[in-house]
Amino acid sequence: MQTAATRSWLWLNFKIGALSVGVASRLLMFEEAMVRQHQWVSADEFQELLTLAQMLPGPNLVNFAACAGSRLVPRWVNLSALMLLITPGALMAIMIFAWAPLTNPHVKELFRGFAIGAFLLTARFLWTLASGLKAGSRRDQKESYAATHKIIGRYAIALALVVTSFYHLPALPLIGSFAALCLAWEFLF
Amino acid sequence: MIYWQLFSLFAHVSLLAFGGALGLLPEIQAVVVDQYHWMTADALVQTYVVGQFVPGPNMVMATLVGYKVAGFTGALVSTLGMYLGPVTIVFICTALYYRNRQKDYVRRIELALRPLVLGLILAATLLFLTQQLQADWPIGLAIGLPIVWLHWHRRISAITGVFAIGVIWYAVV
Repeated sequence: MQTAATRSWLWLNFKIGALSVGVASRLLMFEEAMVRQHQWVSADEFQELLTLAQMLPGPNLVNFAACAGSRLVPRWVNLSALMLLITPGALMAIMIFAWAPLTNPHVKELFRGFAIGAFLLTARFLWTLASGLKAGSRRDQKESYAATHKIIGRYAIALALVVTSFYHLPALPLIGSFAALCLAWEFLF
Repeated sequence: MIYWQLFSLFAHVSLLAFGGALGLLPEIQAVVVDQYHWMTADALVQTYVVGQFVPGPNMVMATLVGYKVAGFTGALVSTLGMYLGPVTIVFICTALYYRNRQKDYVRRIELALRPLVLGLILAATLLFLTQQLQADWPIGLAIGLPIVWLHWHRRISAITGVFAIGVIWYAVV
């Protein structure tokens, strides 16, 4: 693990704030830079930060950037980076909302293509997250794996959550009950 | 008064936002459309759609509602309302987490919650992908899979891949 250079962290946040398209591709860009390119954190710690960010209320991407920033850079750099992450998209959205012909079929189709690309490209990122379900609790060992029944249970819970999500149940009770299920599986079995 | 209403609305909903923005739409609609009549339901959905397509956090919807209701100042206070509370909570919780990170039970709680994170991201991805592709899914996969393969094998970056798929899709469909 290294400490992120201030300038690199600010640039990464600005790049994602100004260029990323699609929900999960934004996290994918963080993963690409933090784990693969700069190696500021390991894949395991990236997942740890992601889990922490997802468990807290608020917009996922900003939560994640704030979490990772707290780990990697001083507080003032973190706050500046968050502004760089939020501002470009907000300004662009205002411009689009005020002036762009959103009902124009060409504009709609181009945006649709970007969205499809963003969602398809999350495949590798999802694979990394899925691999993280095998991890064991020993932090001192580089490759520590959980017991097989525990791993199977984790995959089953994730799959059940995906299936249940398609029924459009209220988010808070759904997440709360699955969080309880996850904790019960980990600690009781 | 209107600025305070905008700020408090988004400060309130941001603290209910577990696992994504989509679940907040009914809550925002109840206040913005039904209670205050600031905008129509269609215009509200349009702010959500724009939020999905612009870069950065997808909760830019808050900024757009604020802009529509009270101009740039409205956009600013809505944005502050949306992010101030969660960011403060994240700072506090991250500090607490890293203070206790080496404890065995903290690691086990984090591992336990990983399926939840995977499930939420996978569900959101599949949901939006099926909405976007609809009947054109064979074309989408034919265009997308080779580029996904290139990205998987580190030949191209994610952003290049997204733009490549977007432009090819636009040219083909």
